[in-house]
Amino acid sequence: MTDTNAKIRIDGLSKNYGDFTALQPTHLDIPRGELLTLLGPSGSGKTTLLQMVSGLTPATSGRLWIDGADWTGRALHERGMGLVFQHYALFPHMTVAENVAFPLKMRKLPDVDVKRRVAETLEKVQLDAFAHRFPRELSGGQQQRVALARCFVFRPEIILMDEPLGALDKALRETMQLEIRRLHREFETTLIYVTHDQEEALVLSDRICVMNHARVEQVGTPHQIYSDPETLFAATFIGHSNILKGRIDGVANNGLTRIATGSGNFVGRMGARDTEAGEHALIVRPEQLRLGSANGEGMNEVTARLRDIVYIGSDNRLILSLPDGTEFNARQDPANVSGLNVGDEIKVHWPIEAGRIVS
Amino acid sequence: MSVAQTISRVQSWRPKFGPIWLAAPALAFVAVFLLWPMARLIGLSIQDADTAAFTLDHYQKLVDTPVYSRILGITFRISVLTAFFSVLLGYPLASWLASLPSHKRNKWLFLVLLPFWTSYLVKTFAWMIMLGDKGLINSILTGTGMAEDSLSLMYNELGVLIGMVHAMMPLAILTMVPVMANVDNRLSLAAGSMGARRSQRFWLIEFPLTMPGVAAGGLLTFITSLGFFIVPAYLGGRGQTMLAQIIIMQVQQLVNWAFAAVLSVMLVAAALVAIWFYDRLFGLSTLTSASSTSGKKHGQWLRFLAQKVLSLLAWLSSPFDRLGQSTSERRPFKFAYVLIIFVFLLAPAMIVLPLAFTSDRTLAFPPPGYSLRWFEFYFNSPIWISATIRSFGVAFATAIVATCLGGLAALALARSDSRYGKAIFALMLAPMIVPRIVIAVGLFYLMAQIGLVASNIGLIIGHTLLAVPFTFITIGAVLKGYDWRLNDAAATLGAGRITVLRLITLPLLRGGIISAALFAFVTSFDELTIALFISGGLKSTLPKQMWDDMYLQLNPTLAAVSVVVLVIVTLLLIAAQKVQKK
Repeated sequence: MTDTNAKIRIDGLSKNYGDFTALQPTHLDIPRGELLTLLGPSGSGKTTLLQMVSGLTPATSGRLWIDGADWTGRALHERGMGLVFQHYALFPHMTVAENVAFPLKMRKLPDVDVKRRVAETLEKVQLDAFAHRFPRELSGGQQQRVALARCFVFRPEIILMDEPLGALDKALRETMQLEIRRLHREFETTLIYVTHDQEEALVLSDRICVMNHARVEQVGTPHQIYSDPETLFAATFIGHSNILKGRIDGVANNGLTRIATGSGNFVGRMGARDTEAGEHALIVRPEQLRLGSANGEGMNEVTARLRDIVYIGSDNRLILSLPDGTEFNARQDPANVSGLNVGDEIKVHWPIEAGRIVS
Repeated sequence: MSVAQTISRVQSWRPKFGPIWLAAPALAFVAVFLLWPMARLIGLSIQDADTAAFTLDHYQKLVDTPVYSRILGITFRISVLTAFFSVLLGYPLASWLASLPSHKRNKWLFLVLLPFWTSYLVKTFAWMIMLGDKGLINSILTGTGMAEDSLSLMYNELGVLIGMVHAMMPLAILTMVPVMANVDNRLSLAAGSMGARRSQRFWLIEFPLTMPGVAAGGLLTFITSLGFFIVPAYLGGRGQTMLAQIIIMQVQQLVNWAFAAVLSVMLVAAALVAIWFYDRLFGLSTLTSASSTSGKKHGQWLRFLAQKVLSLLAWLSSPFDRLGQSTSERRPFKFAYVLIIFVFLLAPAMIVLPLAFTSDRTLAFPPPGYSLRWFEFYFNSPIWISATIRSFGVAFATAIVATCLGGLAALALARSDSRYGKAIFALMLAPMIVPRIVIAVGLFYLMAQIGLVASNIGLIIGHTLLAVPFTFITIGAVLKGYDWRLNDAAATLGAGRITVLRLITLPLLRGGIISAALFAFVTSFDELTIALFISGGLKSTLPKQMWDDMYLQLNPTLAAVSVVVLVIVTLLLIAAQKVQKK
């Protein structure tokens, strides 16, 4: 292949089970050293895609290229990828050290080297004191660290993780996310990470691949996806969004698009891959709404009823009801909120460039 | 009587009636009809027959008579070989069953359950037809010219082993499947992703994880084989006489109780030694978890050895990695093997089916013509019909008593966290561990003293003793899945304890209770060992009548009776599966 940067090239991989489509033909290039998350709800095809890359599941069609070579039909044990499973898949009849040593023994490393590298890796995940315990004697977080150690110990060039933190509680999950970031950087691997947790994807990723209904919705950096969602699904799955449904009503003179909704006509930027046909929606992020009347050009304005004010720590969340009943959330500094009462009619506005029109 | 007394005494002694006391009736039953007779047998083995003084003469006789040590050796050898081949040949089938999704697995498991519950007599009868000098296999071999002369397939060790392995393999498979199904198959995939080949994945991951099942299967088949007499009696020759046959002879023909007791003690001792070894070698504390702190050093040494052996096995089998591509989902070799084992398990009973309808006086296969004459003979024979009716009655009573006793004991263990729980559990399973022949001899001795020999009550007691472990396990399994908060919920809604039991607990447990009763019924209906001693003369049960008839001559009536038994057992098993599903 021509693109020498792509460590992994997913070239039209798809998976059908009989009539059921688990993944539509998918194209994706993953550069060397990137941490890419596959983000989507269950049934979106993210795990299927990961399993086809790993060799656990054969693909229905398409090819997989690694470093420019065709790996589509390679046997599982010849791929040399590191896999971390959701429930860790630690061997219960082996100690922590034996678990971590397993991939090295499969590679027939001399015993001395196995010992040294196991010790090094266990130290890196702060489990050196637990080398001779059995997995069932460890806590969930410790088991997860063993799984990570077992994966990183043989320095695979590609690591695939399938919701590895799914079984942990929130605090532990956040610690482990930072740990995975650190290990990823330290070992300079290319890492594909499957999750349904958008916060986790935001914390970890160089790039996020948002998936839904067995296909890719959008690929981009966390910032790109947040600020420039290409589809309604991508907009709602990452971060909070206010959604105002309507129809396209031509192009405004500044190149932006007009949209007619039940609460009035507004202007916004068309999403990058959108067409003008069918139902559309205007997406506005809560932090972009400002209170009061718009002064001057380049603003959308609407009158709304204040339904509730919720204190959420750093900010206040204002829950608004638009004329057609659509609910809008606005995030405001507590200072701006004083003097407002539930039930008030207030005006809100936002810059026209901030709104995205998607379908 | 004694049960009721125990309870009332217990109640007055301790006014608080905890759930653990629900196990009391079953425990009392096991104590009176298993432990006490066993103790008596041990007593008999060390008493002088006339003076009742302490003596080791009987044991001395055992040591001094070479024929007995030879029989001990034969018994041990056949049991070990049976256990080994049952587990070895059953392993691939068990692992295939375990790999199926559970609804499919239950369907196929039925084909293992069927031979498991088929009477040993029917199975042995079928093998006699198949293995004889003019039997089915030999006529095929000579008929097609594959062999010039008949091979001797029975009245030797080969015949005994074929019959024994066939009888024991379902037990081995049924023991291994749940363990295998619990092994997380992602572990093997994980190993594969780390570079393990097929042979390494099997020997280093899958096999050690299924080891507890393998060991348990081997242990159970070994212990059961120790007390076997039907197969060696009919398929073996002089050189394959097993201990249980000698015990029967000592009791029934020589009336030498002391020596029968000595041999029984030997059998139980062999079983206990096997269990002890199991605990030492494969018990939870070694290969699978090693979490126990006791004997850790020994455990580590053993683990090291085991790992070396497994690595060696992986290396030895690695040349076969390319056979059966791991990428393709179909495995023709495995499928063919599974088919062969199913044929092996089911064919013998199926052979009996056409023979029951033969028009001939002999058991020639294929039958020269078909008729219902042997069924007519069976239904018009007062001996067969009275035996059948007796078997039904005894089995029915056994089902009710065993379900009550086992169910209450299971309830007791489910509802209490008493520290005696483990001991009670072990005691409830004891009738499964102690070789049947020993239970039968002990009961015979007891029954003779209280005048219950050749009585239906005696039979019911004996069969209940054998069936209680089954009902206990079956109902215990259902109780495990029962949500006890439902009782609290019903209570808060105003239901009293009896109402809760009647409207909530029993309806939810009904499937398990009915299938437990059905299993108890089948256990009794097929039972020969105890019937051999306790149902004498005119009070014969169906299996006892078959045994006597087989002794005289193989005839088509036996085939007809076998078909009747097979049909009844099959219907009961189907019923049990149906209610369990609900």
